[in-house]
Amino acid sequence: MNLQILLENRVEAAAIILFGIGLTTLLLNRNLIKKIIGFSFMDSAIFLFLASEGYISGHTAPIQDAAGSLPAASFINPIPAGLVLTGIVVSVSVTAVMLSLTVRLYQRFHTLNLDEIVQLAREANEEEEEAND
Amino acid sequence: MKNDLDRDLSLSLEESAPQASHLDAAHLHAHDTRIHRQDRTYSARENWAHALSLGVYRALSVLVAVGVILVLLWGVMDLPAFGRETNPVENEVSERYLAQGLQEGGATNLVANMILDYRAFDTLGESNVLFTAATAVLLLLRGLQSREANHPLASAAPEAPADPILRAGARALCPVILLYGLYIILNGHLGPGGGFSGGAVMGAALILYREAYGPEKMGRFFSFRTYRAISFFALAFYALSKAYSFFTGANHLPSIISNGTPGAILSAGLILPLNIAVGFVVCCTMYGFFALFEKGEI
Amino acid sequence: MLWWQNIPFFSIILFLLSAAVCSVLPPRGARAWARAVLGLCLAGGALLLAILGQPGSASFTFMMGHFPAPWGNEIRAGALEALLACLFPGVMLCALLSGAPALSSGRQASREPQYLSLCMLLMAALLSQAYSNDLFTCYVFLEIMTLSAGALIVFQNSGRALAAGMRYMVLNLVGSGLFLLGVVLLYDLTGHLLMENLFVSLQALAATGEYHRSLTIIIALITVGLSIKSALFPFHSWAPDAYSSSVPSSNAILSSLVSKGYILLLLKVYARVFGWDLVLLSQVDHLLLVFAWAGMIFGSLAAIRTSRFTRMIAWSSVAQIGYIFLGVGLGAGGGYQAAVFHLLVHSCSKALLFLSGEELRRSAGGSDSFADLAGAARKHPVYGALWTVGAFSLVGLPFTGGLISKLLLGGEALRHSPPVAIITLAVLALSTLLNVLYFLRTMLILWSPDQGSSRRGSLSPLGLGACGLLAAGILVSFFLAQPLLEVISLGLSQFS
Repeated sequence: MNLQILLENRVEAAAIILFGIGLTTLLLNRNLIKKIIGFSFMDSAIFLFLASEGYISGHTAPIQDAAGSLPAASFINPIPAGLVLTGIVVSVSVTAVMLSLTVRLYQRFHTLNLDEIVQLAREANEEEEEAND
Repeated sequence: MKNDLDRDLSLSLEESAPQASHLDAAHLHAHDTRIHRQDRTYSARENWAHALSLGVYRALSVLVAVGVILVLLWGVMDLPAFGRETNPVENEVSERYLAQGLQEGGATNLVANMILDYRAFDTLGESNVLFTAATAVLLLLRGLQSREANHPLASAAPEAPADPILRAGARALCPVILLYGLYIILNGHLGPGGGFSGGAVMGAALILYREAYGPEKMGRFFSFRTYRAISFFALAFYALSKAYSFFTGANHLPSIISNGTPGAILSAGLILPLNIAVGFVVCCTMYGFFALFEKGEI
Repeated sequence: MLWWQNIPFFSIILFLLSAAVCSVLPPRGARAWARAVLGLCLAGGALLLAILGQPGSASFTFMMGHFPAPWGNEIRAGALEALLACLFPGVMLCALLSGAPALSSGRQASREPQYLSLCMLLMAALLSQAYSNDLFTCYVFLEIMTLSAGALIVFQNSGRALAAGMRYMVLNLVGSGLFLLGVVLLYDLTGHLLMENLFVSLQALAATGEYHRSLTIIIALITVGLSIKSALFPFHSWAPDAYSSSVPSSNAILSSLVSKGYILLLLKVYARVFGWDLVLLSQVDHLLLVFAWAGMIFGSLAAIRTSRFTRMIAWSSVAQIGYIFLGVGLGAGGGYQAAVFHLLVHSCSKALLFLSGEELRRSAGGSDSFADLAGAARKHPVYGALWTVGAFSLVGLPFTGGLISKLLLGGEALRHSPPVAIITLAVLALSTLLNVLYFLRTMLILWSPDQGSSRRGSLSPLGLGACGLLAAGILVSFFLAQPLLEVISLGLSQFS
């Protein structure tokens, strides 16, 4: 175990820990709102990871002046910045869809517990079938 | 039939303790809860097997989380070190964005060059992700309140117009916020900013206005038709202008779009108009999300 | 650049534009527009296939913008992409034509434009998935697929569809997250997102043995992420509900198009980013084989146990996804070829089963239980026959494409080490036996003598034509198997 590298890559390590927490919350927590929070955690962790990937010690944000006089070697890597921007928009979109789905589910089943919702949906379906017969 | 089912299924939430919030209780109280179904299956107090499985489940969840984190950390120890100039990510790709971005894209904001010119296809996809989400939310929530009287959020959001302080504040703030959002959009190619961030700021101004003056007043200048028209024209403009640029680029045809003088407000070719289009889409979508969540109608 | 090389770019942009157009048109206009666009892109795909499918033709790349590949975005089309450009719009068109009644009836009618708009976005995402050369572009369009497919499920306003949609979303988001982390880690190691450059850098890394640990983790992340999204056993728990709770066109689109998009992406990542040798080095292929074997058995067993018609078709998807992943796990060359072939066959068969099954259900009063479906095929002999063709194909009977894919999988298994070969053949035989059991049972029920009144519904010519087209696809994949396989192997050889 080379802890030296882990210490040096502490930003990445923190991002990975957050990712793990978010992933597990999204996957295993039964409360829908907490699931969505877990998802936000997970995506933010990836953005943190990307940001740390593009960072170069001592360099500045990639904004040129109008004459183009700043040397290219004084900027950080612009690619992760662009990827994070895209990722944030995706994350916002997904969160909105998940929340609206949660509103609908809560309205129909009056609970936020996904296990209960699945159970209730199954029962409701069977009752509907019986009513059809 | 559906309504009957709804009532049948209304559980007594006091039993499933972890989820019972104030909102739940208040809502259930208002709701017709004469038909209760005491569901003991999900009560940890009543059903010891359920309590046991909950405990095991929690322990397993923690184990899974720790396992995933450890495996990934094990991988991170293997990664290139943080903040070095010699890392693999600092290669010819990013070098060209930094060194030649100003000549080739025309924007002094080199990230704007990258996302709206070099890798514009990704960003075209990205604004369509937002459009997909807006369509999905519309499909899920539009007309919810008129269809079903027991909208869970209806009781939480007061119908009456807000108090005078909010109105006065909104009157002072809304123009400033709108202007600031516009500034961010229009300067997206010159400095930090762009369509996504500026659009979100402008959306916030619309939301504030709606909260202060109510949906009716908002509806006078921003209705569902406005929302649809703005989204449509912005997205269609985005797709068509990028189609033109992709087409000329791939077929090596001359393009009529010039980069202009770097640093000027009217420069950087398509980046400024695209930022404006994206800004409109984002602004409408943010406001639309809020309105749909609040009332089920834009 | 030749004029026809603009077709891939043109179809993607056209679908994106149509999504915006459909959202503002009235229902009738949106329907006509969507059908016209799908037809046009199907014709474009057929033209592309006619040109690129010829033996010895080469693939081409298309710059999306003014800058060449590692800097700008790029799409690429070869024989395989052309084949998929025919398959995706074709199946989508059939699903929309045949599923139209359920979309435009009653309260749903005013929401149809939004539904079609989502379908257009889904098509753009599927085609980009097939054409794109850039991993991050793939991720962005992957999310469009996830969201639009989720919305297609919850279009049906029932509690069951909402619950199924939520389970779908949760697991698919886990899958997207794992995939994105894999892509981000890959970028960290190589500094590239373009598939060709990634391949070169990764081969260099593999040669030096550097970052071996991270590479294994990355391959596992991407594999698991995409397996979750394509409902491979044991990540399938969301699939049966998601595939069977919504309107028939959604069921058909989800099970026969969306899952295929993810498998295709996984295949592309294996073939064009890692290379099969690197996958072997990471041992992930064993994982895939085990999951595929288990899925083939488990999915069929679950299909036998269920008492509902639509759910049975949905469960059989889990088994069939196992077949496709078996091909992927068997590896470069014959394995990939079998996987792609079965992907085509399953796309047509599953859509046909869902769509013609819906017509049979409607003649039985909309019930989903086997008891009510007795004699349904006799009321609608045409749809009964079409359903039977689809079922025969999934069982693997002669004159259907399903037989060819089973022969290919079996033949490829024989070229592997004895334990793998024996288990694969045994699982194939057992799974086929189980398939026969439940499809035979269903067919006996459907064709049993009619006890009730012989109520004959009206036949919609468009819906019938759509189902007929899918059935024709299944038959064609048997009779023209040889040229099809040549196109597939040409396309796969263009990958490297």
